Amino acid sequence: MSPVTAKDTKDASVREPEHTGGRRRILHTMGTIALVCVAVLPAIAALVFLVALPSARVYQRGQPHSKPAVERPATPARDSAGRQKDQEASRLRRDEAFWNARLELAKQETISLAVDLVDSVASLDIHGVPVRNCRIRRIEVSSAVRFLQNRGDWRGRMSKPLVVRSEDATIPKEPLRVTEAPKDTIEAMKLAARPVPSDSMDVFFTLYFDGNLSLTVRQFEKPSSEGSKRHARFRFKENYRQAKKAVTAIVHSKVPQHQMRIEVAVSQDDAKAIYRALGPKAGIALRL
Amino acid sequence: MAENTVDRPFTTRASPERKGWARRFVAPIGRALKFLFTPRIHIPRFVPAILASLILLALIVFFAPTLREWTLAVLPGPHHVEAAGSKDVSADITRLKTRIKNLQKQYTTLLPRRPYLIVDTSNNRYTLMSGGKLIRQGVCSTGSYVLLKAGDDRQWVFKTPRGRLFVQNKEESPVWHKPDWAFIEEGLPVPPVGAPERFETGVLGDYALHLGRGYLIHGTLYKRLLGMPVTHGCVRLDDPDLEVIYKNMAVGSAVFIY
Repeated sequence: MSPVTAKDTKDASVREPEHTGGRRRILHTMGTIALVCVAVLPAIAALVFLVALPSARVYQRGQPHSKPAVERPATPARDSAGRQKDQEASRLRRDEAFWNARLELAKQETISLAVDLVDSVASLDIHGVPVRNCRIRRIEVSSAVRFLQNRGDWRGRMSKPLVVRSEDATIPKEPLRVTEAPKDTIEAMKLAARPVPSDSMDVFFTLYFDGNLSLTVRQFEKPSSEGSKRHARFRFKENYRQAKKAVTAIVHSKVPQHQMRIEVAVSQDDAKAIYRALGPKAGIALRL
Repeated sequence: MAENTVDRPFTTRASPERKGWARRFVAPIGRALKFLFTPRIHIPRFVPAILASLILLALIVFFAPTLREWTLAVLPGPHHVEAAGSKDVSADITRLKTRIKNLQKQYTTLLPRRPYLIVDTSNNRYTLMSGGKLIRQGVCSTGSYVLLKAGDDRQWVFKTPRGRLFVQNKEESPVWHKPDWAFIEEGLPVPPVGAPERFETGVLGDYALHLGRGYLIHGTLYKRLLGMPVTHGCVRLDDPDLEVIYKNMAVGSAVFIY
């Protein structure tokens, strides 16, 4: 047996790591790929169940039925003019629904709100008498609404007042100040001398209705730093509420519903007046 | 130090002094970053992956509504508008326009024929209207939203009622019949009903309009407080405003408070 020389040993040691390193590298790469897939899988599932499916449902609801209700000759000129007339008829039906809702609200005892997004006016009404007209400075409407607003069932819904089911705001509904009765006239004088607290707070509130529709009213003016923080907390609470609702739906094997949001901006005074005027289960008429 | 040559003219830009300057400031930052991000304990590979996955999942769940909005904004809208119920769309349009006009007419008939008062309790302002036209507007004072707690489990909330009220009665030189809370909030003993201390003149101004349930529209001695929420539920006005309202509104006129 030939003696093992230093050179042989050296060659062997140089050769050995290459084999092990190569196989190890392949395994390492495959492991990394598998890890990435596993890590990304929950995110993909979340995108499918929380984003794609609800959006597809809204998109599907907005598509035409298999056959139009009325057959018309398909000449190009007729099509264009006919489409315009159909659009005008659809707009007029939405207006009719709005005025029906407003008249129905006029019969109720509560203070109601008529939000006209076409003319950019929000009107507080009491028994059909407009008591405050508020100019809407900015409007944001959920993309889902454009899929649904021409449907008959949507119009049917808008022809009845929307009833507020719940609400959330950055200001108190009634700014109560608790005072203990003074024991004597001296204490009473001190109480009477207290300054009247200022009621200027930044106003953001959301009214929630049935059918995953909500109306957010915010002040147009830039909020103070404290108001911005309060608004951020308000938004966080809203997003958290939506997330919780979506996860609950998935747990119960349902497709989460998409919350259709309409957001309007009015002046701070108007926003405060609207929020404090509307009682529980107030009625809203909406014109899109 | 390598020098610039014809083939590689831009090898060296910095002078020795500038290089030393960069080494003085950049090198410590590099060392600090290396120190911060060099792991000292062995963390299995799957841990950061799971953490990243959970964070991504939480972000998607939290921002799902926004992502849906973006998705729907990108999708093409419906191509059709629901077809009219009949073959003649023009007739439908005419019918709809007539119907809407009738509804709007019905709505305008709800306006009171007599002058009516609108009171804004959020901003403490009033507006006197007649036939949809403005007669007068100005400042007033409404409920203070004070919750007064007496020691004997009695409490009162001083707020102006909202909705539609009607003028029940009109009075000149009104006398105030002081209720119990008027004594309690001053730290005074409550006199019996009908006692002379229960009646005070001159504090309600020259006129008063009764709205029912003890609520009045009246004048005030505290004119500097007008425009602030300081009353016990009544609506306080300045003397000239009160006079105009008193003369324009009759018993049965509507007062809308919001």
